[in-house]
Amino acid sequence: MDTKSRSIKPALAFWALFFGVNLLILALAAGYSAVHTLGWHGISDAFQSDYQNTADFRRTISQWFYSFADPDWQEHYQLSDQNLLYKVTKDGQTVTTNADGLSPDALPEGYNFLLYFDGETVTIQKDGQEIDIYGDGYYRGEDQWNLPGYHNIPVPQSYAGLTITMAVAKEPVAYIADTAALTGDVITDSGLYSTMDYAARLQFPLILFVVVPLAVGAVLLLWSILWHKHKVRADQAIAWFTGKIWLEVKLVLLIPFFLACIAAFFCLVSLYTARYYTIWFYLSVPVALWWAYLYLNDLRYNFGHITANSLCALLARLYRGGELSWPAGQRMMRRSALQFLAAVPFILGCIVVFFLLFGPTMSRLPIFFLLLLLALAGLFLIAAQLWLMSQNRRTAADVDTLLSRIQAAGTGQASAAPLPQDSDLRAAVEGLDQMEVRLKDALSEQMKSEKLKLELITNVSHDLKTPLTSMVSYTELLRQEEDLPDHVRDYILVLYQKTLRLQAMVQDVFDVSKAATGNLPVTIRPLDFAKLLRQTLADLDEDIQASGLVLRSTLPDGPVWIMADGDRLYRVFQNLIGNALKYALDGSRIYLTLSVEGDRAAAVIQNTSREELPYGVDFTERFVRGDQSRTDGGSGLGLSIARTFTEACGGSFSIRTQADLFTASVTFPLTQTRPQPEVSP
Amino acid sequence: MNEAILVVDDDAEIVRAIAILLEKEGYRVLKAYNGLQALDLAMDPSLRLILMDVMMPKLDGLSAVLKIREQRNLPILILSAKGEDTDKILGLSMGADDYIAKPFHPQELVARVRSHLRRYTQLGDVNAPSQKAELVTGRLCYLPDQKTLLADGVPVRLTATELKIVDLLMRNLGRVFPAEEIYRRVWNEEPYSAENTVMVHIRRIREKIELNPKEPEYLKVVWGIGYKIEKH
Repeated sequence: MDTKSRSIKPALAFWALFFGVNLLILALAAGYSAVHTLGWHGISDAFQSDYQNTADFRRTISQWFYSFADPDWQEHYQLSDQNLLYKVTKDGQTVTTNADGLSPDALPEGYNFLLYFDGETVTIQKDGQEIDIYGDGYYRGEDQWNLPGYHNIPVPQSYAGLTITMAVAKEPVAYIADTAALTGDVITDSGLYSTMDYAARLQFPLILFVVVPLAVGAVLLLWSILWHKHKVRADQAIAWFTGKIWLEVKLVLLIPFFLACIAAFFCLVSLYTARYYTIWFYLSVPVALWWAYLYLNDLRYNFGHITANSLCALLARLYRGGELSWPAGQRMMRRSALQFLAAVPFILGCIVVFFLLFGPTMSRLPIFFLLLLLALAGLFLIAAQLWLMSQNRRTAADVDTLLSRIQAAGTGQASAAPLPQDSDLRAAVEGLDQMEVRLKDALSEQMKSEKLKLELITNVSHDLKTPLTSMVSYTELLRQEEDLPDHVRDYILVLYQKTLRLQAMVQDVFDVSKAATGNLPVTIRPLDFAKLLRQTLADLDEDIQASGLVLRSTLPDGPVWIMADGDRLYRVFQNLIGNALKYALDGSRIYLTLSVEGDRAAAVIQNTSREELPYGVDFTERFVRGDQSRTDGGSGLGLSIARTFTEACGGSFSIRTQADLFTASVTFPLTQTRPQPEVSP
Repeated sequence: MNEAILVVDDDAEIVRAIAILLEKEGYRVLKAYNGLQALDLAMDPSLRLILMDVMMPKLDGLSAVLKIREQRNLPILILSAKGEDTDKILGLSMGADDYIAKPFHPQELVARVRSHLRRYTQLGDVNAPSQKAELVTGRLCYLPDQKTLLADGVPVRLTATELKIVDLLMRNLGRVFPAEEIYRRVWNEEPYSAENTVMVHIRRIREKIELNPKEPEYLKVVWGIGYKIEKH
């Protein structure tokens, strides 16, 4: 099978079916109307070569027979048409005739048909042969001669003594009467000529409109049935085309289709009611048929995706396409607006219909159409509602997903799968994703920076300590040198002391830097705050004694348990007490109190400053000191260390100054935890 | 015959200063300025002790310690300016015997060197199974029967009260005693101003047994709890 025939055969098969069916319809319609108008005899008459054998002829002759037998007709009428010669006698007397010499024994020239009634029976001779009229003696229809003498058509009594002789021309000719010469009621046309002529003329249209279409239609139909396979392909091709048409167009076209169906119905009914319409009206039948074919064919092949190609679907697609570019909130709002737009015509329609039904009477048709529109609006409303519902359900599910994602992000777990492209909350989830990424980046960045800071501190500390090592070592060597003048020895002592101070400062800077960057390792254990303070006082006892100051401590007798790193906290109080000893007014008192308030323990150190305390200075800032001149000893980091260490241990640190009164307090929450048994006695 | 000490540091001035300090004490000093030189010199048979810096070019101190440890069993002291606790732990776990943070006090350095050498030479057989009666922790050795405390094998002169405290803490190495309990056990009296009294004695004992009394290694205060002798 070559490609060309493959492309042509389905078309051929379809057109064969199309024309076959149409021709059959034409043939049937024409045939039916022929039968209806002519009757079966009329049709068979058309195909009779001898008009004298037609039913029309028999009918005409019979009618003339009864006319001639009728005394009224005999009295008033006369037939002048020579195609039919007649002679009627009553009791031997000629009553009426149009051919005086006519006798049943001899027919004139050109006449081959003779009918003779002898008062009892009729005899017919055609071409000299007698024709059997009565058969079994009963009249059954137009096949037979409707003449008296049957058992069921007896000869009327009035026919007694009547003879009728009728002669018919073999080939009648149109008779044109000389009307001017005629008087009275003269009938000029026997109707025999038209009988012959009509039958002859009917033959061609019958063949053209019935026989040929019937034959050709049958052949074409048979052809298309034989090529069923190709026809199916044609159906598919047509379905492909009809599939392109919007569903709405199809639905609208249903209205003319139904009209066509109704018309076709009336056409079919007219076959029985014998009402006639114009030919265009009859066209409704094939039109309705093929229209129906298109619908059925479309349904058959496109049923699965019938809604896919529709104006609504197109609009929906366009809407959704546009929807993606709107923010989520606007999307939700517009969906609700759509529902509102659907509700408005529905409600308005309801009101209108209400008034139409209960208001002034109206014809039914507008109400019907209004109801139809109302139903459509209602359908639209329901559709919009359903759509909104499904969208809302989806959005709700997406909200759940988003929430779980946020929770997961909060606990630092890996992200779940992303939401589909058209989800309302996609932007939110994407934002969340970005947030997670940024947060992760920021965290790693921060960790990196923390690590860098620590490295920097370590390196700086190293770089400071290395030369310091040499300084300490060589100062020591100098100190060990003998035979040096006293003043040199004095210089060396200064050098030595300052070197030690520098060393302490470097260590303090290192410590406070580590604590400030959160890199100070602490070992948090339960400890007795009161005992720690007592130990610290005992440890610093020599310094306190040497300072000439009095330290008044008020500590609870019982233990005060807190969670802290003992070594760090010792440094805190070492610094605080050291600070007090250094800056307190000579001969004044330093007060150290530990008190428990609620669930917190507060240690407070108070001293009266020797120098005037500057106003508005944060003493815990690094390198801040009471005197701004920086000439005395100390790194200026004491309070800073105290604060950062306290905070590293989980306590809080504060400094208050009032006039010359300097107050530092260290507060820790109390704990129920006790030291491990092997540590305590 | 002079005991040789290897000093390794990339800072030549520090090496020189340490050398002078040690030579004054009568030691012979070998000098190296990086890890590789240290590896060569470490094979000297007269070598008794090594002072090793950590951050050095070519081969760092800790790697050098690892290598030397494969060959030699002698005291190795780490010198480091980093001062991180983690560095200290790392150094000791690499096979170093002690860790001295820079800037060190010269006298402490010398004391530590002396301490390690004395232990290494005089108690060179520390490795041999010790008598049951001895209580040993690091450089301290307490003989309960003789009521004698040895630091680096040298008897420490302690007063009766100090000895009682040492006796209590050495018999319970690592255990923390509150000042009140120490007072009760040592003085057999109800504690009065226990913290101050005990602290005074603790400070005095430290001065006798610790190389750097300001940063004690053995007799320690557990702040907020009590006192103990650390188990080394």
